[in-house]
Amino acid sequence: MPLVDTLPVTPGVAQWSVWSTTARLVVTDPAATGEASRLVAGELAEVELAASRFRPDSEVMRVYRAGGRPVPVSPRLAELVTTARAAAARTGGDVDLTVGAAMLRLGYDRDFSLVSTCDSQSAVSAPGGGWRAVRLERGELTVPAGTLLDLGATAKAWAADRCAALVSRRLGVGALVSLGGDIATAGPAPDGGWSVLVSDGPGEPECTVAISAGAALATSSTVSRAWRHGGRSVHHIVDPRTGLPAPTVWRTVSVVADRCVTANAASTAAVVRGVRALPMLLGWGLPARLVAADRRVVRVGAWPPGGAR
Amino acid sequence: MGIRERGLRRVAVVTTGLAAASVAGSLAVAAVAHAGTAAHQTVSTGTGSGSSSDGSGSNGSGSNSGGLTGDSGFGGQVSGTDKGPQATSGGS
Repeated sequence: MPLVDTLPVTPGVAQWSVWSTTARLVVTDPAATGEASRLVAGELAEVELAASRFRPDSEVMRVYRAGGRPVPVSPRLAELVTTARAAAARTGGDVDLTVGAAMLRLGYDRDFSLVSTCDSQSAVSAPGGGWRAVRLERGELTVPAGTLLDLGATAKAWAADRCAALVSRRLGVGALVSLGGDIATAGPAPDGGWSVLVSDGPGEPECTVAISAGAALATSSTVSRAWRHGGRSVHHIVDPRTGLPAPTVWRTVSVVADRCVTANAASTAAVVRGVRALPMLLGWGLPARLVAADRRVVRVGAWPPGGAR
Repeated sequence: MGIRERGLRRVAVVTTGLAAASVAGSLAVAAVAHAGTAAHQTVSTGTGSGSSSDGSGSNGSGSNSGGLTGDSGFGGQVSGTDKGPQATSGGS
């Protein structure tokens, strides 16, 4: 059971399944919960139609089928691709939107709830690293033939940012939007800030932190979203240089930033970088918490002490 | 000392005072600016930042930022709390 499902759904809270994970919405005015839920669900549907690898009718799949020809795309997909390219540039290519083929070869070729039930073919590396070849000009997207975009790393965070801002702006309330643990907030926060339990599940180190109004928190994990493939356990964070899951130096990396896309890019890149994550996180000046393979907890920057157990 | 001389002397005193105040003000501004720079350097270089090693090239900021924030640090706050959690991060 996802950890979030252990939390109560009280007035001002809505929660539902989406994208093989859980969306959780918290608003400061319970009367706004219904309308806020409709806004978020509508936005998520639009993001899915633009970016899903698992829907033949999505824009991403249409671009894939174009075989290297330019394809006019919606402003939403254009913005998602721009964000993903920025994450690639910012992380030196550690977060790469062209690892879709690698995901396919690892067996992550359908909704994760279906992936995790089977042990598919042997792992064959399919490196990404092609993010620089993705072109977006005058509303037309061009990707090299055979390259399948995987916007999963950034699209969920982008959607959380967008949904929180949308709810706060339209309804005049404070809002927290969590999409599988990628958390964005907008508008006023409750007294003491937004309280978030950071953990990868039962038996994993955990702590509870408060983030201030407008802050975001993302966690990347090599433990969650893992499945059997070719007789061994693999997870969903691919090193673009090898096309294989990043070695498990860290079980989880959690990062706080002022945008969820920034937090997510940092946490994902940290998993890919392994031991080299620490200077990167320090350099970015972002509070972070890393759980090592042996479950030791490493705090970076302003991440508060305590709470680890 | 004549009236004219006394007047000139007062003018000189006032001018000197204004000049001194101006210099003091400039020094104060410079000191504050230096303190701010030093604090920033403590944060950004004392912790091992570097755009080349981070890969934070030109595409990571400005018009190509794609919504990602820069590497000037996090402007918000994160702290410990005893409040019951409103959300979870991880484990999904």
